[in-house]
Amino acid sequence: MAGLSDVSDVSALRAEGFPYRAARLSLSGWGRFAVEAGPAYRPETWRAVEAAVRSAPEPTLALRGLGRSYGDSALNGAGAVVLTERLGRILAFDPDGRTVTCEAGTSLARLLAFLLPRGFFLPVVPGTRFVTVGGALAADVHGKNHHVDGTIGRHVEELTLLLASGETLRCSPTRNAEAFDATIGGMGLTGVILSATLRLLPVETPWVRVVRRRGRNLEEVLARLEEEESLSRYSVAWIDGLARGRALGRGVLMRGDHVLAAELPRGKAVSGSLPERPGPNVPFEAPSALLSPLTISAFDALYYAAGRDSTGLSGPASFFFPLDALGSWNRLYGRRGFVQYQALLPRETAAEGCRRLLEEISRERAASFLAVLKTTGPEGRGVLSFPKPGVTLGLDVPNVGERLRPLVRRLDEILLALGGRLYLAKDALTDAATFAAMYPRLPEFLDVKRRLDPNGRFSSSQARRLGLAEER
Amino acid sequence: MRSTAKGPVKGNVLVAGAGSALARAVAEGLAARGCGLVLAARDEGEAARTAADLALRFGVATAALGFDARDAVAAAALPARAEAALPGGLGGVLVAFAVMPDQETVERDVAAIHDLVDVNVRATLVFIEAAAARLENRPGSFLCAFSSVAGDRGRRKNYAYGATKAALSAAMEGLWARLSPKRVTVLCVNAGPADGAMSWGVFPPDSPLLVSPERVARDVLSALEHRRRVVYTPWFWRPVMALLRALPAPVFRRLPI
Repeated sequence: MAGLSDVSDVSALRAEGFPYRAARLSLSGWGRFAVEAGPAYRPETWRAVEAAVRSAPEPTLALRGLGRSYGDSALNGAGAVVLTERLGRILAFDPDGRTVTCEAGTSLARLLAFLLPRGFFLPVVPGTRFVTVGGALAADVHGKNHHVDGTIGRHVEELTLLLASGETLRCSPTRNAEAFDATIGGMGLTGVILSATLRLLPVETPWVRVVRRRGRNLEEVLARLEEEESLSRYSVAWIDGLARGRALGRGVLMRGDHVLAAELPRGKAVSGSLPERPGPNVPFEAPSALLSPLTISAFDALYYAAGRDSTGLSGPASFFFPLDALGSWNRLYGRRGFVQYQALLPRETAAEGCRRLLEEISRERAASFLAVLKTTGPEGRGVLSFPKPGVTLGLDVPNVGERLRPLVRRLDEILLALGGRLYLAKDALTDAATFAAMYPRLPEFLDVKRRLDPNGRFSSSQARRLGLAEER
Repeated sequence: MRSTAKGPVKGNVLVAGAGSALARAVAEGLAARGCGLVLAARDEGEAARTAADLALRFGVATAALGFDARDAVAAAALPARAEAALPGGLGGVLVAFAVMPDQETVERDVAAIHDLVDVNVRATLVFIEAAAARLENRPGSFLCAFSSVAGDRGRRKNYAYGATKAALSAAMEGLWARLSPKRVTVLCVNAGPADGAMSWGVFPPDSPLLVSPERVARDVLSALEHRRRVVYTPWFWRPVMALLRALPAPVFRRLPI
């Protein structure tokens, strides 16, 4: 469709025989912290993906789904970014075998809108449904049921991986298992996931029965999390990032289970869906002053609504994806953005670690919004997957300017000393040495990456920063 | 301009050129209204993936065919192949295949002109005649083609492509005169630049001129239901093009477009 106004912006790098143009996009992670402008491709067909992988003139490619990783995982400096958003088709559904196959650019929102009315739920969902399947596998996401069901990688039957050579490789836990294990949690650095087959969780209703309890301080919250995790499939605690002193770490524990049809009270619909699109956008970048009152009231509402003990029914959206109700809540942190700090601590050091991290942040007056605490179960297959047995603490840290990097460095030191690690989907500022110390299987990953991608075609700003890919 | 009768779009629809984001979006709108779909694209694997997706999400019958619009014989045979692929006969045909080479390429490369004319004119006219022959005796059916605002006026930067779209628009007007008395809707879609593979890297992605495929699909479905002859999408292209058509060539030439 030709129009009336052309733009001078046609990529000068268009290679001979490569018919696709790159658009120059200014992109950031969800934290809006680092912003990078560079060429981007948006393939609409598998052939166009393959053409970009083989022949796009830029030295490296980074893959990007819905851009919900917080840092620079889906940015690529002088290289190109390949957007998967136009490849979001559901390819097969087997209700008897309980599997669904879809393209990597399919959002979990689209999948859930399809699956819930048919009596299925995804076996693992992160805190937002506006991520793609490809992104979820690349980060090997976990949810409120990690202690029961592990990460999403545990529920992948098979995936089709397009390698840098242009070949496709079908991988599963039993077939090309090395490639599979490096791709699950591999941050898109092994190849392009074209499609994936996921095993599904049958649910009789879309409702979740939620039990809320308050914890007056960190020790109480942690103790209750551990004691409650065997009681429910889902469990999580929201804690008050602003509380100090004896109230440090006070919070609300929530655990939930899918409701059976027979348990459903009269007047609640047995079937239901979830909207595929996000709620209204935050229409502007909030002045920073807006944040603290908003934060406080959000927490107080949650805290006092919880009362001593309460049980109720919740829809899937408000239980699993409370922040999805706002389209781009990341704008609440204003123009300078924020970073997410998600730490995982072994159980033995969890109490000490959480206390020290919260205190460090509170000392810088960088605390904001809610922090999330969650127990994690055994490690999965992914070589670079984040979860291992312990407790994970996720915090938003607003960009406090010059003080941010030293603050994050101190947080990293605390984490390292206590045997913890960071989540790649959130990381924006860690260095290669720290990362290597946190992930002992890194050499194994690099070995598989070298074999799958000998010329380092797949990269990202994060990968170069952390030594997951070489400078090119 | 329009007949008063309003009616639902129904039956099986053949989408020729189903590989583009625009065609996929319209196909999705048709599937949401319960239409069966035969998706024909050069890349049969792509057509099959879209067919699977629409069948699953909307519970409609779908089929996928490989189709190369550089082959006019294949274009003539496509409506019959589509009827064989999905039982029940065709209730509508969407013409959505085209190529858009750079104007500079056309100016230095005769092969590019051949390719442009082979696809956008030769195969297109052959195909719409074959489709018209099938739809002629099916009152309530429709024939819809993606033309372009580029066909309304010859522009320095895009006249070769524009010329092929002017040919299509003229053919659709004649077909309308021929088929509308037989209660066949003939709709010419004059789309502005859309946010698809053709314009990626040509327009900035946040350009206010770019129309989303979903918006195009809504406009096309609504125009089909209202049995329109011509739809501009988005709507503002209608007054804009009316104004531009009224400009004398020496003035039009000086516009910075």
